[in-house]
Amino acid sequence: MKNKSILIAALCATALGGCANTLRGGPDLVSASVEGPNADTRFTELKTAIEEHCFKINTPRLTRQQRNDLTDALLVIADRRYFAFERAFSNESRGGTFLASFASIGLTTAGALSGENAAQTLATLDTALKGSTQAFSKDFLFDQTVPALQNQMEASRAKIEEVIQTRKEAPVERWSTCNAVKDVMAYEQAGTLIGAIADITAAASEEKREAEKDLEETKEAIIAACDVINPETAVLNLRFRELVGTADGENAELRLKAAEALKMELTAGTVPTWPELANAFDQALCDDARKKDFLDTLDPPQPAPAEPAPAEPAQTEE
Amino acid sequence: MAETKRSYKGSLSFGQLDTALEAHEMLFGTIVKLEAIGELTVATYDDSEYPPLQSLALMPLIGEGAPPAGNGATHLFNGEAIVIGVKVGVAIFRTN
Repeated sequence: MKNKSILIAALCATALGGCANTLRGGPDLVSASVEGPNADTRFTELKTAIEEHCFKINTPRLTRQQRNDLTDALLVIADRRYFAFERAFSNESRGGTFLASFASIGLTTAGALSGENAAQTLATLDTALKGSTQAFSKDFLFDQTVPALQNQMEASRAKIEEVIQTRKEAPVERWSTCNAVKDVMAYEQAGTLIGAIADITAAASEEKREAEKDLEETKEAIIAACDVINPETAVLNLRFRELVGTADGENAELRLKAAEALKMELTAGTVPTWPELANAFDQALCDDARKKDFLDTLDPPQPAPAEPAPAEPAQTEE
Repeated sequence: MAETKRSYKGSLSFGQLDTALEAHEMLFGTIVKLEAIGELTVATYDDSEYPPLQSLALMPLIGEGAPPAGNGATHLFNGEAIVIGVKVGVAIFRTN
């Protein structure tokens, strides 16, 4: 939780106003156009299929097998591009380029990232971190941030792939080709830095909510003390304890009388224990004056012995 | 042996918290734990033993440690409390 929070703070607490659109590191998406050396010869066909099955209403419906073949093809392309990106990202992270990036040597651009250029990815991370008011050591960033992002990408991809593989069993009426394409897009998104950060943020938010819920439950489970407690309160509490005693069964008649006055719910024939009485006494009587009245009722103060009348001065006869 | 917990508002001063804890020791037994949970201070009492009246003393920690025990006082344990809205380390002493 703490590590995640720090990581998110590192990535998001920036002068750039958050990380939503800042970090775009990731592989080329099969759903996006790719030019140059990363171009995939099958891309055109796949893109056409996406447009056909998601944006046109008159496209003939694919069979389940055809849909699954298309899904597999998209997954293979997404995987290939992800692994290329991940390899470059990992290599850059381990080498001097990573450290140099975080040492802010000439890498300040927040420009968009493209393809497998990990140096640019790191440069964008570097920019995102610059606005942070907290100090993060290079070691921390190296040891924690990159592996955390990689782990999150792997975990999220695996989770979505599992869903996709399960859904391949479904008929096209329940999982259309367009839905399959959308799921592959989610799979790709999980393999990007922004996807990883979003997932980490979501996980941290969930953990925070859980922690807050636990805290609230803990607080609710503990009885709150009275608002005002005076030194006199301790004296009155001690008086009550000494009056009824702490041993079970002690002063049974007095305990029953106290329980009745405190409106305790007792099982017939039982005598309240001291902890039960103490709790009831503490909760029912927050005001010292009421406590004193209660105690005086249980144990009326003995009237002070009358002072002997002063002796009449002896009359002396003159 | 029974343990009882009570929560105290974080707006209390050191003295007010001390007074409240002492009062509850008379009912619930010796304080054995003091925690800061959210904006509240939570004390745990153990009724195996009941301390003498007004024998509790709270002191803020100095750094990570308890201040030296005063004359005749015994350091019980360290805990945390919310005092006037601020989370502080607290040393709990038993005085004569």
